[in-house]
Amino acid sequence: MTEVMVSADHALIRQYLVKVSAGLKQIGEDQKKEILAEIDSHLRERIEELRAESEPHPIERAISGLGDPAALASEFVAEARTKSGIHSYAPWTLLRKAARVARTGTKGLFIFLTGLFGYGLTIAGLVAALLKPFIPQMGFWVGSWGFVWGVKPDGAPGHELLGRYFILASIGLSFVFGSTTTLVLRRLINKIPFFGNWPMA
Amino acid sequence: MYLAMPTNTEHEDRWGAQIRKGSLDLAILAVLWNERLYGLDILRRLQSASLEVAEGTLYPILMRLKNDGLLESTWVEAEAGHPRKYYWLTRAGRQRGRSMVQSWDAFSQSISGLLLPIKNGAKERWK
Repeated sequence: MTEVMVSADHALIRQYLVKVSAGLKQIGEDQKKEILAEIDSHLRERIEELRAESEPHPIERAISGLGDPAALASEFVAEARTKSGIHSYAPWTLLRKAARVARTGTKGLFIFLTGLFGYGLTIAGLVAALLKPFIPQMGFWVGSWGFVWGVKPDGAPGHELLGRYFILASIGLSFVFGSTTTLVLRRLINKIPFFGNWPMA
Repeated sequence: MYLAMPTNTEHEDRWGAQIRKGSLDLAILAVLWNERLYGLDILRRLQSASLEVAEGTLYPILMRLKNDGLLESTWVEAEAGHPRKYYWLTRAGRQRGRSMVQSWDAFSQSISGLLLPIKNGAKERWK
């Protein structure tokens, strides 16, 4: 369990924070510390208010104001899950969302085309790796005319650099293109303002 | 067999709570529109606008809005002797606020039209 790194100076507050902390298991350590520090700050503020108003049992009342610690922790966990935007890493889901974003304007269209291009390269790399055993001319060709990842243009002078490692390199490149496109697409979609979960939109 | 049906008051309470919860994000963005505030301060502003928000409800929402990039926060050592976590709106928060107000206005207009028969009916009944 996360150590309660707050300045709770009262046993009741400390106990309360420990109970909240126990319910925040699915929340990252940094966020958990931040949450506990904020609850501690809130309680101290409330206690001061209640003392200023000469209310009896200010600490107990401040704590009861926040409610059951397990329920409070559940609310944090529930809200952490309802982060708006897109959470999936599945290329198909991301592309479908990107297609929806494309209808929102030029920026959205750019995002969709980025996704299409990135995943297009991913598929092309995989196809090249699959075809290599059947098409021996498939490779990474370099010549004075430039380079090509695939079949060398007819009659062009040049030499192949990867040989039998072409399949491995193609799969590796596909993985890099695929994962980069996924991360970039997620980031771009989530940056579009108001593509969240406001129910009346 | 006895079935416990919710009373009208229970229905209204639950419905009212749902409305409050649904509009809380917008209300928080609104109170932070012009200034930086800490948790309890935000709570007091909401309460002064007759929005009864439970203390334990506010902080999880603030966390979500911050995770969504709509709010930013910093700890400030207060005169009171303990640090306070102040929140303010990010650019995305302002954009979201404007969009939500547009949606709110559109929804409010639509529902107001629908409510006219009820309002008129209520007046006639009391004539």
